[in-house]
Amino acid sequence: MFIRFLKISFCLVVAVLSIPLTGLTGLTSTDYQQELAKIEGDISSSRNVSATSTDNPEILLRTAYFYFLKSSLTGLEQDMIKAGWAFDKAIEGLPTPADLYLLHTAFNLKLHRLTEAKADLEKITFMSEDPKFQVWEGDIDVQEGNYRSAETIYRHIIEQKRDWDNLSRLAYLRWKTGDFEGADHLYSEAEEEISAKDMRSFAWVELQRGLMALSRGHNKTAWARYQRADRAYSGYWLVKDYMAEWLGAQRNFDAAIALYQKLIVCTPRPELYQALGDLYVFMGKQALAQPWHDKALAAYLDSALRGEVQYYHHLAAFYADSRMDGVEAVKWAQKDIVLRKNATTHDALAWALYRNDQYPAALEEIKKALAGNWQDAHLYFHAAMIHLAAGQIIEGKGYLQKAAEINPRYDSFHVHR
Amino acid sequence: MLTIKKKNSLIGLLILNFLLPSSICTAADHNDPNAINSIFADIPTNPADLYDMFGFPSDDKTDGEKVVVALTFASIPKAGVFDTDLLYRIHFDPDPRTGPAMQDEHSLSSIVQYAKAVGKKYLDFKPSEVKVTFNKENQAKVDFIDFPGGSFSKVIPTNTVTTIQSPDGYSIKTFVGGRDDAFFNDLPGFFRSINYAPQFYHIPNSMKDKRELPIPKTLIELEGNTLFNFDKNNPDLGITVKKDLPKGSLGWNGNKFLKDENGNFRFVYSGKDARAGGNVNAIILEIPLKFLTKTPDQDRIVRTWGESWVLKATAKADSTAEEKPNLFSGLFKAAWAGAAPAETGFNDDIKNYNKVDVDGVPFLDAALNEREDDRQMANNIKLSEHYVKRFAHLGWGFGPSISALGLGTCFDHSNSPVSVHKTYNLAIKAFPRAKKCFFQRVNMPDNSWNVKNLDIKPPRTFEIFIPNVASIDMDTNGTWPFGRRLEDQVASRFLALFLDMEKGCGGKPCNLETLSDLTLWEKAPIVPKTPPNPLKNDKDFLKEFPYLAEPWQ
Repeated sequence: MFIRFLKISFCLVVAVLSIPLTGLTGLTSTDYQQELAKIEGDISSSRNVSATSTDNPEILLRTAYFYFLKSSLTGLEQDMIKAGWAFDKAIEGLPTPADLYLLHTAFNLKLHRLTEAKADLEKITFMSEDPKFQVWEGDIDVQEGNYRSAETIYRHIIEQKRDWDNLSRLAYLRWKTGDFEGADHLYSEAEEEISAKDMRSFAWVELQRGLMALSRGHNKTAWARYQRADRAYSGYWLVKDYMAEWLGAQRNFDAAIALYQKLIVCTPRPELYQALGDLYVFMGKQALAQPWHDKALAAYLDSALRGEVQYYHHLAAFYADSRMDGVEAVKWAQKDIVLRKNATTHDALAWALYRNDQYPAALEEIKKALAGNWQDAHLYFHAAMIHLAAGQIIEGKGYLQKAAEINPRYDSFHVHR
Repeated sequence: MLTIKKKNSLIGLLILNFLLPSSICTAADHNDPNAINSIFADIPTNPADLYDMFGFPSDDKTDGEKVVVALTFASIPKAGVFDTDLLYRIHFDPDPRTGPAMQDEHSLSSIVQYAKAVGKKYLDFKPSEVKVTFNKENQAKVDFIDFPGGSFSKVIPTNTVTTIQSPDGYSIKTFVGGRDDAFFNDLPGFFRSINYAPQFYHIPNSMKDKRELPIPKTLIELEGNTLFNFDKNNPDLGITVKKDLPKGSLGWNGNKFLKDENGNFRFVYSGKDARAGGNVNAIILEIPLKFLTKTPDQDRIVRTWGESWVLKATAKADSTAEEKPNLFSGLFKAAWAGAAPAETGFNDDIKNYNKVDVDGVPFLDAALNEREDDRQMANNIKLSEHYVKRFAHLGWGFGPSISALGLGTCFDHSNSPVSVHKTYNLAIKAFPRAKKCFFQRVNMPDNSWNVKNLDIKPPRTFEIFIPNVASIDMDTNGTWPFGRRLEDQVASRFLALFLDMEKGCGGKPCNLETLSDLTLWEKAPIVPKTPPNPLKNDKDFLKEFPYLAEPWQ
């Protein structure tokens, strides 16, 4: 724990110190470092003001906002926890917290807390005609597998204003339902709407376009997108994460491992531990995978023990694919599906049931996943394996064919996201 | 495996654009459109926020007639320092005086016909323009595009007067830099008059229904309007202080204007300059009329407007493909610091930018466009019906308060004793109330504007609103609405459009300066005894180019 603390502290110190050094030497600190340093400064200012003005609503809101901003940027668990505390304090202290509830809805959605997200929106129903309210309703629909309803909402919002974020939401639905060209067109349109003041958003859209290309086996296109994202917003761990996956998919294992190891030093996310472990497994190096998988699992279980739900999905996939433990996989997949019934949670449960040799149940579940019309090579691969195991050979072969049609390289290394 | 988790990543990123609390209680400024309106609690001040478009014939007639234009905007990052992601345009359209005009028939169809005629002119219209971009050395690239003498560019230093020579031999005085804000106005007073909550309360941009609260617009305070009336216990509310919006009713249930123990009304305005001590960044040009048009004798009206554009991320991403300095190149660069900066690093391709703000007619955006993002246009023909409805809505508020002060209003409020909150869905319903205002020609206070004593009629009110451009009449001194001079108190003049220009001032004609007349307020049963807005700027303007005063330190 102490070592981890030291590593994180080191990274933060480097990030902050790099800013003044830039001015002295002409060296360029990364965009990520600059943004992180700015948020740290904002948090620090808010803390100083709040020390003398503990019940100032604006300060409470700002503090919650900046902590949330930081947690979104770093993706680190400790930042999420601090953001949660700041939200609790702000909600307690604010008399008319419409903004806060909108923000808190996003926070809850990020953590898969759909019930809480809905409760937030319930408190501000007077804003129900506002696109900023409606968009969260659409996002809840996506999480609950109500894709048509979500698309209707997104289209309605876009008719009013073609903001990049809503275009990206619609693009995501198009992508997942197999309209790849339509999705890319929407992403492209979204990028046109993003200003130079918001390069991280641009990088994020590029990552989605890259990932969509990778999911279809268009590896060169994917890499070009990732590189563009890296240029647009330098030093971002999320971009490097996608790049590391890409390198693994190209079987450039040394480069992928090196990148993961670098990433993990400053961004110790359990998802990255798992990805590195999975890569070693993919390479056939179980012994090297073991410690990383152990670390990932420990973090996932710690989170679940704290009552958090955001890692249920990872736990299901982890047990199914990394540990081949069907019983545990089913347990976590079932927990997740209680919260969210959508194509991917049905798929995860089906795959867990398959791992647990419960083929009829797996068959039933994968049909629910396929009903969402999710055009995903890995979903079809799961469907194929389950049908084959259940003795439905023709269907199984058909799904394998579909998986290959979507992505001829569907059996390459990939990350559980 | 691709899962729903990606959506969650999206949520995480989307929120970054969602809410950015501004610094606490910043003073009001010009603030439009809403996407960059820093009045809202979640939007910081933005260099794309255009403040004013000034334009008038130069007093300096050496070498012929010249037009002065000044586009001012938020001084971000700071006065004299420019944002390299921004592009500014100033358009020029010299016209003969015989352009589209409203007919004498006082009907809604006359207004529609006028709008159509203006629209026809602006269909596929391509004006000349001056486009300005910046590089990291804080140099400005000034592109002159599609002028009669052609197109050309010049890179100039900022914060200094530069004379640019055109290929056809004209001298164009140019200043791009920081200045004192030439706008002098009681903005909090204006916002109090329209019960605009974001100026007084913490209102994010998303809460559209909490902007103009459903309380009658008014020039004098309403009895019981606790949300917006002056509070002696919190005198800075709406000026330097914002509160949380109280719970409960956000409307008004009273039935009369507020009067004090002496029988005086309370003015919503203070007459104080909310922009005193404030700076802007500015693009100021003094251009020979002969450079703008080959027929300066005929083209006596120079229509002009400004625009701000922000660089697209796509363009920036592609430009960052250039060298990013490493340790050695960084040190090398540092060693060579002080050498003359290269005149490079500009991105002046308009395709790489998105339009943000437009400035033409002063106060049009705040008063009639409601600062909406999609109403930022010089060719605002499609808004004509909206203007009819909006003007009538304002008239029901301002009209009765003008009458209560003993002045005559052009708005037909059926002798309502108090301001009324009324909105319209149909222009045809609103029009009868406002038609006298729309068709009356504005009166000027004297004849000083008509420097050549020509037979020039001042415009009718509605002609001022459409199109959204500054129409500089080269045969006048350019005072508003014949252009806009720096010393014009345009906010009070805009309010005067609700006066009866025929006989509203004690049976005599009112004029655009009536509300700036101190003697009027001395006699009126009102406190404080002040014109609504300050009569002059906080710093004296310069007699010579660039005319706007030096910035505050």
